[in-house]
Amino acid sequence: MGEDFPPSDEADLLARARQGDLSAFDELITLHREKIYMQICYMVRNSEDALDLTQETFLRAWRSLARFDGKVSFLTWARRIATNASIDLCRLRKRRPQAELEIGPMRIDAASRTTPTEPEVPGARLDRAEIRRRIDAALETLSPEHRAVIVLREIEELSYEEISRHVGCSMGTVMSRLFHARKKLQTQLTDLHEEF
Amino acid sequence: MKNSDDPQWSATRRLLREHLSASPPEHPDFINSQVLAAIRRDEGGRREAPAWSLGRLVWPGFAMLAAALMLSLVLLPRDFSGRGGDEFVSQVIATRVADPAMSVTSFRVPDDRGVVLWIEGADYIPANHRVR
Repeated sequence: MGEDFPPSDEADLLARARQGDLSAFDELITLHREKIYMQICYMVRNSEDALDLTQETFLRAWRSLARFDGKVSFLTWARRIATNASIDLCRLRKRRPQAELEIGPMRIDAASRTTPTEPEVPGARLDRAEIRRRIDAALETLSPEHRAVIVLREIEELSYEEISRHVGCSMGTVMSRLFHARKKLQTQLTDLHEEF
Repeated sequence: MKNSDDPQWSATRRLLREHLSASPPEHPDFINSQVLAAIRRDEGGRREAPAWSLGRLVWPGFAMLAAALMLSLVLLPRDFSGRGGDEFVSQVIATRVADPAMSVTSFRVPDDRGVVLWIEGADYIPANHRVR
């Protein structure tokens, strides 16, 4: 996806941010905030938590900017921070389950590819809500690490190599996690795609 | 291992992509403002921190230690007798007897770390008699 080679303007922004230039870091946030937010959203399935974690991700990035070696792009690095933060939150939730895990249907972007092109009948709307609930429930059964690779591969469409860099493990581990996560999801969701 | 071309997995993936949508943040600039505000708080805290920084704490630390040492020298009870561990534990200042037929002499025995009270002229001293 071409995320790993920083464009020259980003390199310039990074250099300035490293010297403490807040306006440069502000621009870096603007460049990447949406991707980071969306990735976290897919992982934690709660827009408020996603907003908090996005801020936390950029704050951690700022604090660690001196240690950023520039071998990967800022986005890749920030994604890694975001992935770790999301995994941490998911682990916390497993210890302290919380009630609200769903992103409300009203928050779906009007331009999203999932926006229905035709008006939905009430029954169909209920079905979509039920499917979302089932998918969320299935994702909840995955370990945070497995959920991370599923989101990065199947939703964000990153390559195995990129995922291994984001998650900080070998490609073999990524493939193994993907295999198990897919198997588990498929088992739980088979009846859904048989129906639709 | 099932790969991404597996038709069954393709159907599950399609399901995930269709229903796992998330919208971009409603107020994206809020993220910037919050992050920058947190950074400024960090930086501000760091600038104000020197009041409690190590460098500033060194001299008050030394001063407190010195004061504590002085107080301990002044206030803590000490043995002013100048007696060391290898010295006598008792001392005879003077000897005196009322009976002129008797005499008392005291002398120190450094090897045994003791004082000998030599009494002459007494037939006996009762066991319960206290020599003062």
